[in-house]
Amino acid sequence: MIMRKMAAALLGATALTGAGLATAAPAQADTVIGIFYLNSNHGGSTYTITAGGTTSCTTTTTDSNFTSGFSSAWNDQASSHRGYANCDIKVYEHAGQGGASLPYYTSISSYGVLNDQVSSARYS
Amino acid sequence: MRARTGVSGVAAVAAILGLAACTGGDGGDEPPELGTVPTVKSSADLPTLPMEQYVFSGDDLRTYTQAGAVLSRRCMERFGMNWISDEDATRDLPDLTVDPTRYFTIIDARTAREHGYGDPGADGGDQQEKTGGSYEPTAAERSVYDGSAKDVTDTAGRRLGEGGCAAESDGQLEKGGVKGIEPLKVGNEFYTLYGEVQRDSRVTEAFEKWSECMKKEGFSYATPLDAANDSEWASGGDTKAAISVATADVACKQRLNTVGTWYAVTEAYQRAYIDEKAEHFADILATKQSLVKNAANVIGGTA
Repeated sequence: MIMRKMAAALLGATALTGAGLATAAPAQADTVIGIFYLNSNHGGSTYTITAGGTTSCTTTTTDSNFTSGFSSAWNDQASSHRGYANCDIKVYEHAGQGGASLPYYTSISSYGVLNDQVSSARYS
Repeated sequence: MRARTGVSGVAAVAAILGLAACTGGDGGDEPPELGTVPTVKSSADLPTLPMEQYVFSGDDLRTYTQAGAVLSRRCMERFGMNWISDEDATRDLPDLTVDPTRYFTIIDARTAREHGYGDPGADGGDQQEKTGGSYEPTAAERSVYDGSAKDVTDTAGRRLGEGGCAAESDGQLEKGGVKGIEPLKVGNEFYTLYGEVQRDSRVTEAFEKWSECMKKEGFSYATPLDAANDSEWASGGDTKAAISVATADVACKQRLNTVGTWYAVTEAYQRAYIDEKAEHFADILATKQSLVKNAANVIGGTA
């Protein structure tokens, strides 16, 4: 697993500043809606996702407020997350919110079988 | 002979300098030189990493977020609409700085004894109740905020600008900053270094010694990351087994100063990366300072 992470880090070296922007208003004054962690139990390096402007998720998880992918360096890397701005996060195996998924969690300490497999997320 | 030697010497020095210039962030062959290696017995012994000065502190983020809410509401009210309050906007803010207790996996003996690899800050459950805000914007309000509303004018008869109130707020907060900088995501830039550091021979040697130490304690892991991410902990990092491994993990790290070496190499790679992209990081710092200053002026009523 670690070796795979290292390889991905190398491949992603050209995409250092990319991604992390959820599909929301194109503003730069952002709100953090989620932080993903390389390791289980919210450990190691982090990847922050923001949405444009002063915003938050709604009070239910029956709607989808934002979606995001990951930079190439962070594809198939995350193992846990925390949601912010009232957002619960549902992670997916494939890009574009496809493949296997987990339920919505505000905070999850391990993706279990989806550790190092997550490629996109939905925020609600 | 002498002259040829001199030329070769210059070429050799140039080659060395060339190599040195390739250190750190771009995967060159020559690893960056280490600074002081701290003795790390607990997370309190960890010095600040170079990246931290570019990341918003908790206070910075609160000021910036509150100012964004003030400016957003100020704009929305001109269109007869409401928006998210300061309290709602700032209720659930993250810490964007490096968590010293978890960045280098587990460090503190007490945490290991009490929580194993579990996160003490997890509040006992993963699926939490959504707290909700006291105010949830309507679809009409969201469309004015993001600029998708058509033919909307404010109380003075002015049309909604491109990008709506979000863009108007941004414009005021970003005065004096550098375009294209995303201050809340600066930490994302350092991810690739995390992997490079783990491949550095000084870290792999430290991990090998740690692995030998763990073997003597009866556990087989190649690196501290393998122990922290053991799939056995997927259903809970605070089991009896996890606590046993975590306790041995921390003891070995303390005995060998594994985290001290890991930190020193990380510090060296981050320093080299920042030096290599000096202009970019100068822009980040200027933008961060400008945003925080503008935000403070908004909250203080002078902007």
